[in-house]
Amino acid sequence: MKNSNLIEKYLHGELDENERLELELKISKDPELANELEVQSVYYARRSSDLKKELLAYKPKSSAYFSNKIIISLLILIALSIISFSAYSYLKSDTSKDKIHFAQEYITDKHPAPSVFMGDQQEKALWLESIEFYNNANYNKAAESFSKATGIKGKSNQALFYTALSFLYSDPPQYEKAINILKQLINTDSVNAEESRWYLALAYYQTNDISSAEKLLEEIVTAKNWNHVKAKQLLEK
Amino acid sequence: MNSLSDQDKIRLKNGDNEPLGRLFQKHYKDCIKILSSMDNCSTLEAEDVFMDALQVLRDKVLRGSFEHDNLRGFLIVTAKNKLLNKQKRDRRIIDIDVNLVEGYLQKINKINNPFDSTLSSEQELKVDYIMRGINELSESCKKLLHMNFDQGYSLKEMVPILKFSSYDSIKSTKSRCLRTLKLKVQELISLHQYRSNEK
Repeated sequence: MKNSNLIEKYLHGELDENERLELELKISKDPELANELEVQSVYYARRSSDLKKELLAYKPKSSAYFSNKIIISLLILIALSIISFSAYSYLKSDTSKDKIHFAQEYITDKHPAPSVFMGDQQEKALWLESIEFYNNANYNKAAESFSKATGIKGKSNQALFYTALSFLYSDPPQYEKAINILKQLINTDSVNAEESRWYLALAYYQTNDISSAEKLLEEIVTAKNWNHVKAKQLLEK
Repeated sequence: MNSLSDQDKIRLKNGDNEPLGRLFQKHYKDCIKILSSMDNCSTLEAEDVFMDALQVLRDKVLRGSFEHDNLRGFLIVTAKNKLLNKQKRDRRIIDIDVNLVEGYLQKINKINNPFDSTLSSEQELKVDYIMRGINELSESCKKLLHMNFDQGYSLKEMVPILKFSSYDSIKSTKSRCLRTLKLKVQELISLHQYRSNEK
């Protein structure tokens, strides 16, 4: 097997017994290969450790997964109550109000925070601070901090996107500010352009601009953009 | 959906790890439950190797070698392999084994390392000096090794990108960079030993 494949399998913990012996034999005869393997191990461990730091920010906060069944049952009961209440509200209100309500439900389902990045220490610190505000649901501060982060090279659009989301999630929500930003983003080549279209539609609903919201939802469905299934469901409600 | 979308693959290739964060959240419950049901695997160990599996996934995506339809299955099998590797403490191929280095760097990054196997102080010093040596390499060497090791480019792919004349030429440059790094590390270790003896 090629040395590069053996090294990759070693790093990924995928060597079988024969491959392991083959690598051991090659290393004993080739000091350059042994050196490369050590260096690659350091590179690999470094990026793995950096990734773990990022992933832990996404760790589900609740330990309910592993707690007793009573808590799970209670959660199911609460969820059923919410669903029953939602169904009751649905039957009671008119279509537009329902759609606004469902759009609001989607807004409460918070978008995941952005990932950290490797860069200038000061910029990295600002980015991390913004993520922390966002993850702690301190959306006013998050909006302020992400707004400052728009100056970071290569992060400008993503920072704008999260500024808009923070306005959307803040208490009280600042829909107009969110709309102004999201309107800019939907026509960019930003990786968040599709998500922006969806959140812009939700924000339009909250300002009672139903026609703009539905126009955007139809575009999402036609282009099969991000959340197109939800967009279709919302249109059909 | 139990596979990785093309859009997510592109995001990963562009250095955006958000799709991995999403996968971590989505599969956390099931994967931790399955892994921690194995013998001798605590929840913390399960969490650690689950994150290892996501790192392997990212590496494979960057190298263009991730072609699995069953994403959750891939993550569980990979995490199990990693678990077995981390538990086999007496079977190290090289002096500074990748799993031990990971544990050491996790300690530096204040990330919990549930596996009790650790590097000796000499090995830790060597890792420190390799990292320092990497930083002290020429910009061209740093770029070459970063692209090849971290970003998953093959040497063949890198020839036109880094404007080398041939595969042989980039291969010998890479060897030269690694030799320089080795010499730097040896130099730093010798200096450390000299200073320790002086005291």
